[in-house]
Amino acid sequence: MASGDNDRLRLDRDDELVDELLRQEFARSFAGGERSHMVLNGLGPSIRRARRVHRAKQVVLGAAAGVALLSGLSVVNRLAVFEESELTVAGETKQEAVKVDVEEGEHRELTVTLTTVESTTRPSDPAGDDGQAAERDEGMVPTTGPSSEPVSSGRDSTSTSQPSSASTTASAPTSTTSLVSTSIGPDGTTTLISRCGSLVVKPTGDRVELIEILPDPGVGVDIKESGPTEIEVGMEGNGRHCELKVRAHDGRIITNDGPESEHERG
Amino acid sequence: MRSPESEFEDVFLDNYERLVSSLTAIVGDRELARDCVQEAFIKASTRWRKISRYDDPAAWIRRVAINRSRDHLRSSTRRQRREVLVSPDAGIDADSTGLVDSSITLGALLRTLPERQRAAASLYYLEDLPVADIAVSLGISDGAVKYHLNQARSALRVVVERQEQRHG
Repeated sequence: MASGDNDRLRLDRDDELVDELLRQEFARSFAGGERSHMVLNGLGPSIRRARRVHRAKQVVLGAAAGVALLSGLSVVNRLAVFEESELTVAGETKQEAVKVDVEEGEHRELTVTLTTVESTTRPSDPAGDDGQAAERDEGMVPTTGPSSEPVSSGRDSTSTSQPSSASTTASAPTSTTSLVSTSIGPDGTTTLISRCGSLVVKPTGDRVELIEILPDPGVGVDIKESGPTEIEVGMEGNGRHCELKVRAHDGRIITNDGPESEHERG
Repeated sequence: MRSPESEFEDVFLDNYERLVSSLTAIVGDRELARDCVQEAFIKASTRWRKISRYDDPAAWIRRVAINRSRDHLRSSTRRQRREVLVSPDAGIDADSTGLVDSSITLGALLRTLPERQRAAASLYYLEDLPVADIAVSLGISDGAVKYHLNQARSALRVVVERQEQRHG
């Protein structure tokens, strides 16, 4: 009997006590000793350098992909790496299915709508750390069109019928224009993309909430109104000035580009 | 409203020390662990907008750090093999490998375990990760993690018993 009790005790120790003692021993042997704040400060230059290199790489790869598209080459089933890049391409509007190398070992097929307003080919601004395109490729409903003729929502747009799609548009190259395009997320947020950066807002009835501002590198932000009835943000830098004014009506976003630019939630 | 930069800093400050500790246990070399974790954070910073949207950005960073450490160890193993071929004395001095001090009983014992067991045990006991998360970090199945943990527990039991004897 006593022997049986001992055996049972030993089994319990296997599962719990041994683990607990090993946890203590691991913590005593390996944990601690790192000065995270100092390390983070020390890593600053390396991080900035890595980001610069990464952006430059994206620009080069984006340009290469654009050239491939313009040359009429089919990029379906090819590894066209223009992750997080945005393209403006001369010619008519095109739709191409491309395979995007989003992350190491992770591939995603996207339909890219390219709408043209300029007769130049250029990679987009490497906005922010990761650019904007990648932010719109997951469940976002894109809207396309230059700022003077914004296309509302994605309901009547060909790209809306494809849930996994990304879109790129460009406005006339003015230095004071505001909105380039918008995209509406499944969580109800709307991303307003301007030449100076992006604004993420969320409309609720007639109220609008400022979720996030993502200025391009070198762009300063001036929040004039932060809600709840109106959001007004000025962004300036790199020779550009953008004013974004956003209101909401019945859950729809109204921007300062006029009533045509109302974007109904899809 | 938090900027991406401050989010990144928070994730760094919350996880850096923990990741270095567990990777030290896995690779047996704190300097190498620091290098790998820092490289992983730098890589994460270049695509932070995306990674910050993951449920657990630290899991991505951990996996990258572990993969980096494997690459480093593989190349150092190859280098050591070459050195053994070149010099008859090379490889005898264990300290030259930069491994943890053998006086650390647990560290010494860990070094004798296969890599997967070492990694599973380190993530389980140091980071307190559930089996599913360990499986993701190591790129193996839950069942394999459980197997490696059992093996590691059996091997490391000696440490616990020794501790108990010391404390009466």
